[in-house]
Amino acid sequence: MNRIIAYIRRKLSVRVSLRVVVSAAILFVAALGIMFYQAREAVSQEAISRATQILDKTSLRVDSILNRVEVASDMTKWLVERHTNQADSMFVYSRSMLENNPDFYNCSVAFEPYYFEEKGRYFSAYTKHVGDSIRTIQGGSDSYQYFFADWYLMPKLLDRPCWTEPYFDLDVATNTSEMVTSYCQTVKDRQGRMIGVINTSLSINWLSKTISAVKPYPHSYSIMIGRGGTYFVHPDTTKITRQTIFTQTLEQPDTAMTALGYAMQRGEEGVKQMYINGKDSYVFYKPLGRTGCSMAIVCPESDIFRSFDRLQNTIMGIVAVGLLLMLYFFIRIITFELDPLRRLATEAETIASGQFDAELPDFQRVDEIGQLSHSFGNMQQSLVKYIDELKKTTAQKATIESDLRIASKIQLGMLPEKFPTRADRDDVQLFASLTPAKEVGGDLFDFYFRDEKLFFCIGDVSGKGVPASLFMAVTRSTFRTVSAHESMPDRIVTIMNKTIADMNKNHMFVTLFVGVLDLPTGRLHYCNAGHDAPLLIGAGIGELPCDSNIPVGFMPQWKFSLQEAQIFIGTTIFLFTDGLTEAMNANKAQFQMERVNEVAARALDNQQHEPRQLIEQMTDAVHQFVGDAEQSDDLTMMAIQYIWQNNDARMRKSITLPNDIQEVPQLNAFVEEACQTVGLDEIDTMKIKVAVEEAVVNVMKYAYPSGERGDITIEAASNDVRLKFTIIDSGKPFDPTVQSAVDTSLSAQERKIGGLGIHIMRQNMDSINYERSDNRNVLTLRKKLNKKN
Amino acid sequence: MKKMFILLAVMIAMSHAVTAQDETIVFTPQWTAQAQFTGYYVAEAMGFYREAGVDVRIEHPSPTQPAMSRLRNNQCQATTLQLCQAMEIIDGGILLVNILQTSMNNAMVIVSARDQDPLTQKGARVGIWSVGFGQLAICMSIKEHLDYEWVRFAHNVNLFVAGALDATLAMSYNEYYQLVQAGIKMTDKNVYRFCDHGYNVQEDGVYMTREYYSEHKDQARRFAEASKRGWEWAVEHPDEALDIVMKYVDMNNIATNRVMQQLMLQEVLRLQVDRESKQREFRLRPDMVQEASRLMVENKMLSREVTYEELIEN
Amino acid sequence: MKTTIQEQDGKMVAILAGSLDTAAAPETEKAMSPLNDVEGKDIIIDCTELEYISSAGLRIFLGILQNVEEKGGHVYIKGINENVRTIFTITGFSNIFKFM
Repeated sequence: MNRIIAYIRRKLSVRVSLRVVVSAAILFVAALGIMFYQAREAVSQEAISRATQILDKTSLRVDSILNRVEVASDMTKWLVERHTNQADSMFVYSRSMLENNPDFYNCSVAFEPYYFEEKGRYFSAYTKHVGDSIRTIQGGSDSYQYFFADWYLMPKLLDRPCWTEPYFDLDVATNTSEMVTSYCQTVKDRQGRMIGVINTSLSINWLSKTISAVKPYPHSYSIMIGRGGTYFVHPDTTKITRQTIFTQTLEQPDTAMTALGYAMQRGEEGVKQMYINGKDSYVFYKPLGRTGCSMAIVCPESDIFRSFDRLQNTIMGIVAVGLLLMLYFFIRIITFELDPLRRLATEAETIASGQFDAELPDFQRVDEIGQLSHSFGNMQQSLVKYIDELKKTTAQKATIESDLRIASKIQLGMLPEKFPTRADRDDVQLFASLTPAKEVGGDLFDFYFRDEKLFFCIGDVSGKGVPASLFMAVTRSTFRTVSAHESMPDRIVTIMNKTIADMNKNHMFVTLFVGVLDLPTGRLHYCNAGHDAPLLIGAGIGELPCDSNIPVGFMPQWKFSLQEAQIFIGTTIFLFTDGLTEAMNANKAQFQMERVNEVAARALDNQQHEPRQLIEQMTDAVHQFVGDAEQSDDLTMMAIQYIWQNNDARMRKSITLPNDIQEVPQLNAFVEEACQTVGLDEIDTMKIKVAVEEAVVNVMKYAYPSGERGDITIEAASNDVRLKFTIIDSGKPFDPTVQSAVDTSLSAQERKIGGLGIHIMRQNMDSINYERSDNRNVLTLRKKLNKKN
Repeated sequence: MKKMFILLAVMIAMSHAVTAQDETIVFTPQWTAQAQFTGYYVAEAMGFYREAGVDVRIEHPSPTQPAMSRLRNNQCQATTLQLCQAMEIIDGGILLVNILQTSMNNAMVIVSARDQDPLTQKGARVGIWSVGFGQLAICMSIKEHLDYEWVRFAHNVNLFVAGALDATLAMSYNEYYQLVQAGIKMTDKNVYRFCDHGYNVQEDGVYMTREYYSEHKDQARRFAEASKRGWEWAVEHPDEALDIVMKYVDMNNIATNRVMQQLMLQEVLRLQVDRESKQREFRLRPDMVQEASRLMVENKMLSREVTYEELIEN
Repeated sequence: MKTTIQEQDGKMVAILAGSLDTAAAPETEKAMSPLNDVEGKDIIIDCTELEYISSAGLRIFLGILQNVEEKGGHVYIKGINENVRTIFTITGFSNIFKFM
């Protein structure tokens, strides 16, 4: 079955043909149904009129005979009533009745008991055919008391002429009986008293035969019942006079039969459809004159509709065969018509497999299939052209992708790759990661150490891809350039902003966080240009408060604000771009700040908030969250942990001098003593002495306006790894570290007198750091100690 | 115990068979062959009479020879009569003996043709048998002042159906079902049952002239016993009994049918069960005899009271 | 700090002894000012006894050098010890002065 359905689904021709044929079949069935229904009605009407005709004819015949009986009876009555006193003349009247009407069965003129006193209780002039002769006798006896008979009582009680129910008239002499019906009417005397009854009987054998013979259809039959429902004619002769039409209904209730019985008893005429003896039948019935009898013709439907049913079967057969033939031809025709389509499908398959130059069949047709073939040809050509273009484009794209990969390498190469750890430094450790969403990205971070300061920045350029990456490169190099001689983040950002804005034609911008961490003090100066506020992870977790500055790149005149904060030892500054908080999973849900905080809190709880650990945990958390979803934005994180170990265990001394250069020798003595304390050799001592002197002299010259008095404190401190001098004054801000370096390769004439001091300081010391805090200038000079010291 | 009784009965029957050999009892039922007489047909067909050592021949009455006239003329030795009929005959001077009483209830009804309570049809034309049943109906109509115009008939169905009668008397086992078969609808309203209105007088019984009986007591008893056995067998085997009835019906060419006879048999058997004892008693009830006698004397149908003792064997 | 200027073999010789720190620089500059007036003679700065020099001292040296070279003379530095020479090297002065 399933195979057949599958076949029909696959074959358009079969499907279309089936649909057409099924539709046609429905139309045929509907049309034939109506036709058959009407034809059946017509046949039924035909049967009814045929039966009605027969019934009418029979009824008419009965009527004509009944009429004769009635007229003859009336004549006799007229005679009898004129001679009611002559008993013997009654024999004459009775006899003449039969003489004049040989087809009558008998005739009696019967009188009330003792009407003729001389005749006794019974007097009835009774005439009957006996063979060919007519016999007239005196009827009535103790054994035949006629006045209790139906024929006598009925006209008497009803007081009108009437026909009796058929009955068997027993001829005692011959012991033969005949079924008769009698017309009876009363005889009255001149006073109107009823004195007797004239009874004229008619054999109804002829009637029974006539009715039995009525056979309009091979299996039809006729019945006749009397007023009491008794069968007088029935094909089953055992029922005649013994059963009534109701007898069987007493055993098996049959409402249709009961209704028929009542209708016939009431003398109605009509037709009923009912189930008789296991057959659907039509029953046509009609009363027979005034006898009170009713006849019915029972016609099985199968008889009535025999020829009709045969015709119907023939037509159905022809239609069925016709539909099957139609189905066959349709399938053949449609298959033939669709053949080009099949070939086209084969060719299309070939093209689909990649052979674009396959030749299409030319059908030379202008119908829909021709159009389809034509369109297909066009499609093929377009396809070939398109594939060529695609090849070229793909090649170009490959080149671009290759370029992009190189650009990506270059860009990542710009970023610092080596991150200081606890092994490298005793004051700070740092880690950062940048994962671009595309080959090249717009995120940036950078850091470097200058003197005792960590300069760092993180930024996010608006947009993505190549434009963003170029802008990022510019931003990063600008940061390096500007921060080389600017120590304050607000200044750095302000200058970067002006520089970048001036050359920014494409209205791009970059959010930027620039920080400068003073490593000796843990003092953080920072400026935030529209970037996400960093997290501080230490005693707890909190955001670094940030002013709402605009991003860098579009308002050259903007003055960025400076903020500062104290970073405590052990605290990690966690910086990131919005690629972290806005990392999206497949459901377009974002990672969000809550999760960042959670990861940070967990890391802090586990004391795993060192930069590399923290960023690795954060990266893992993001990967887990994002799952297989495509990275939507560049993701950059940078963590800086301040780990200053202030253990100047070896030496700590200080001296405070007034701002007089005459105090220099004391200074030098102090420095020399310090150097010797930590065991420095002469050359190093010399270098340090020169450097510290330059620094202090600078303060004396520039921090205090001429004539103003002020103190300068010089602290010397040392641990195992370095010697440190800190020069503190409360003069006006002066940062010697931002003085540009001297060019030591110039000739004597070209050399300037100034600028040597800072140069010497840088050359002689390992690091110099300037810090302005609490309205004091704090300059720190460091010298590493060799192991041997 | 029962077996022994049968054995005993057979032995007695054989011992008497010799003496009564030549004496055939001709039994003429009151009416043509029908289920009303099932017990006797069964007894004959099943050989109960022969077994009882009594020679019985059933001969039905003819229009020229009704049962009673046959009895009078000694053409038959036994017949069935209704109790009221028997009392009339005894009152008329012919002494009868009831040798077997089958009916324990009255079967007479009045059926109205107008779908009315017959008791409301004052002055109505009511059919009554020309052969003299219906004494109780006349008593009732007098007592109830119904003023019925009695129409004596040979057959009532056709007259009734033709509308010539307002109502008719009928036996619940016979005419009643003939009317039903003719399509008359019977309701509680249009049927008056005498037995339900204080006229429950027994009907059919088997009678012999006292003259004959006094000479053939033993034969009469055996005939009665065998007849009773026939009835009891019919109660146990209604279908076979009905088959036997239909044989007699066909033999006598009676215009009836099996359905009709089945209904009649059921009703006749029902009427044989005493209302109070719920038993087939097969006996005359003195109280019913007394009541019937009283009613008929009251209405001048009897010239004197006919007593229970006059009816029974002695 | 002690500064001695003397003529020797037609050359002006300045002998510096002690620490030429910022405090000593004005005095030393003053003491060496006669060298600015010398015409056409080479100048030798004897640093054998010079123990220390700061940028203020170097400036004095540069001033003398620029002045002498304008007049076509030469400045030679003599007897400089390693410590002081380091400062000269760091500052690139070793490139512009001649050592003997």
